[in-house]
Amino acid sequence: MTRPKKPGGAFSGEFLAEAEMLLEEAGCGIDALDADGDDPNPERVNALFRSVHSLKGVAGMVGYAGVADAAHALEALLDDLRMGRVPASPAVRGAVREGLGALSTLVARVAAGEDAPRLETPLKDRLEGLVRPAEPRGTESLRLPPELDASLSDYERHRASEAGKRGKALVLVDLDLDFDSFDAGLRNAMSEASAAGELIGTFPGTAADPARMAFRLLVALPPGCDAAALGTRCSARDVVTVSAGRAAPPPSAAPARLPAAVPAESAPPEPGPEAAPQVARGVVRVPLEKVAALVDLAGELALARSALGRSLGQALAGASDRGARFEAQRAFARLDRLVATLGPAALALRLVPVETLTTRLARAFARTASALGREADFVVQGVETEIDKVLADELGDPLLHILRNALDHGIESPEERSSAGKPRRGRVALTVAPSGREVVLTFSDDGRGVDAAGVVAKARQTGLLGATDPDPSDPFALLFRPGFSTAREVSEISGRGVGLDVVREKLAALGGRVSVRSIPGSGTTFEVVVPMTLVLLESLVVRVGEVWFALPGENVRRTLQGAADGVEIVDGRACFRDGDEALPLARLDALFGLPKSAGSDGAEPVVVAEDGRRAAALVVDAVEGVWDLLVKPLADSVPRPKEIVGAAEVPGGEIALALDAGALIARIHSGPAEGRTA
Amino acid sequence: MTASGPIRRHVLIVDDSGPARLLVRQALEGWARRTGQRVDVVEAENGFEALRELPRAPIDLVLTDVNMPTLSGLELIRMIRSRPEQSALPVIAVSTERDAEDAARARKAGADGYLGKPFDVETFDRVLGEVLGSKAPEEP
Repeated sequence: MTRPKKPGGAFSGEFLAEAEMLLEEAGCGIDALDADGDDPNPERVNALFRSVHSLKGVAGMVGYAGVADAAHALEALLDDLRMGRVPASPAVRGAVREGLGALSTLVARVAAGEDAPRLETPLKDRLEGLVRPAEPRGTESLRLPPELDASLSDYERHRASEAGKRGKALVLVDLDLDFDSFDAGLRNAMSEASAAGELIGTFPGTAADPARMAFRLLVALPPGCDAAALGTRCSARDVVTVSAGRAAPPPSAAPARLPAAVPAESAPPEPGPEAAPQVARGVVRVPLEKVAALVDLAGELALARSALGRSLGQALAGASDRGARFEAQRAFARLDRLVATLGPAALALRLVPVETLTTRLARAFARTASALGREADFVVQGVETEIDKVLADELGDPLLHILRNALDHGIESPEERSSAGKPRRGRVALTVAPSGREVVLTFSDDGRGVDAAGVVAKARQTGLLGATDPDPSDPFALLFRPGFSTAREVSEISGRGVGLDVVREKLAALGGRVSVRSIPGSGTTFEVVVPMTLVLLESLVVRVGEVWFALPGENVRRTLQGAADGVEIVDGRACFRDGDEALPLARLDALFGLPKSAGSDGAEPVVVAEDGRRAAALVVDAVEGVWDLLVKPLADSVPRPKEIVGAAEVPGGEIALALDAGALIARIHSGPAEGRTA
Repeated sequence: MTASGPIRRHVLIVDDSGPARLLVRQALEGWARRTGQRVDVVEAENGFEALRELPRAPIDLVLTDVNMPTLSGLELIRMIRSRPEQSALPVIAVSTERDAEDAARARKAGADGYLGKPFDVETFDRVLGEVLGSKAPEEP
């Protein structure tokens, strides 16, 4: 059924989560517009338009026609605003606020259980009186390449024309990107373009090689902004100035660069100062991509340092001048320390206080509490704890779900609380604290709690647990299984059993995990653990038979082709001679009980792995390469040896099992029979 | 090649809204049941993911939202149409507008069909029928 009979249907929980997120975004958007005043940032106006447009779409699809109608009216006003048909006057901005307020009210009424809330006075009528149209302005010809001109949308055309009227230069930035990394390259170029001016649109470029991805960005640059410099920052193949800005020098100046695909007066903009980074009270805002590039460089520098250390050691071993040797060793030791501190320092640039996230949670908490008729406080501790910017953005949805769950299923109604001898006002406490390289977020409510026996009984009743299965050691883990819901009545806020499994999945995708404990009658605690940073791990990828494995680069001492001549038998077991060490040796396929591969002839590569305390040698079928991988932990329910900690996708689509070097080395040292080779 | 058993369609759904993807997916599964076909659905949250998924899996049909942040549906459709190996791939734009103007915009960017949200079962079936015709997907 495409349109549910009852509005919301099975989707009301998702609808509310989405609607709140969109209204939150729109709320931030209108705040920013007010700060911009009469000359708003067009990308912000467009983002605001898009939020309301999406809200209309999702409301329409789940059947809340009243919400969709109101969103439609506000969307029409925002469309006029972004197309320049109404000015960004205080009256218009006020009308937008009024519209957003009305939408929030409607969404809150849905949250409170109303089936089909609708405004008594249509929003359209309320907005109309507030808005006076702008002076009509004609569009001018843009002198774009014909194929581009033909594919411009109305909005893109309007923005390009507006940029021309404001004396901005129109520039085409051509990107020719490798398929494997095109999204990083495109995102970087898009954010550079937005930072330098206005990114009007993204178009297909012409790829010389069909295996590459070519894009063409249409960008409006303010006078004095250097198009060639933007091209460099975007790693562009080509930059074409379609029309020069009004303040640019006369066309007699030397051509900017590269063939102009367009008969344009390609007056190059003055190579003026680059757009200055926004500076406020000692804070410099830097695009995340630049930080990522720095982190990458720091990683490469650390590798170069290791290589230098090895060759320096060899070179110095033969040196006779003891003074020079000592000086070189001292200088290297200093370099070593500096490089070792650079990596973490670069990573720290990605960190933001978790407060950005908790503020958003607190607002959503207050709204949800009032929609559900709960009286409750949200108390946060540890807001200064730092977390990766990307994680702070991505964690919003799953954490909102946990909060909503606490309000909906945990905290009782004020009356129920009074009669249970509890204070009328409930309380949800969030404690955020770093723990090693992870951040722990603990949500504790003082609500009715969850009964472990009830959870198990419910799981048996719904078939999640078979009649003969033993009781699980952690019954609360069942709450995260798909299809589980303990709500006695199906609730409109948390949906119909759709939820905690999604929360767990989302957290797992971010490298995190969640667990629950509860005392019936006194409350429930959700503990969410996420990594402090989302970092790619440089990994050596090896293969045995058809199975791929990834070993952290920092745990790889060396890889050698052809093991045969290094193998010797010490105390009755196979060892690999590495310098003056005899290292225990094992075949990776034998360790994991994989079928022995055909070519076990002593010519396979050997990987020497170390964990800082000891080392061991591994025989594999092939070394596939070294990549930076995002290792995701495997779900607890996946049975596996403890040496396998996660999985990562290797460029090209293969999945590699991530090995825990410490556990693996310990296993080889403990020398189980199957780990030996003859 | 003639496949015995039901026709299997590989469909890519692109939408930044989770609930919207879910609803399109449901509609698609309903359509498959009614027409005796099977669908394998791949989802993408944005244009970047969609462009990445397309060469990876054998996709026979794309249903994409029009309004998405960063890389919009129109921008995605323009990209798909510019790639020779995807230029004939059926693409349906899904948007909240139900007016002819919006449909024309999507068609201009290169969409084969247009669905205004919310859509009913009849419209969904009709648009898919128009776009796919009676054509069975190519065997991978």
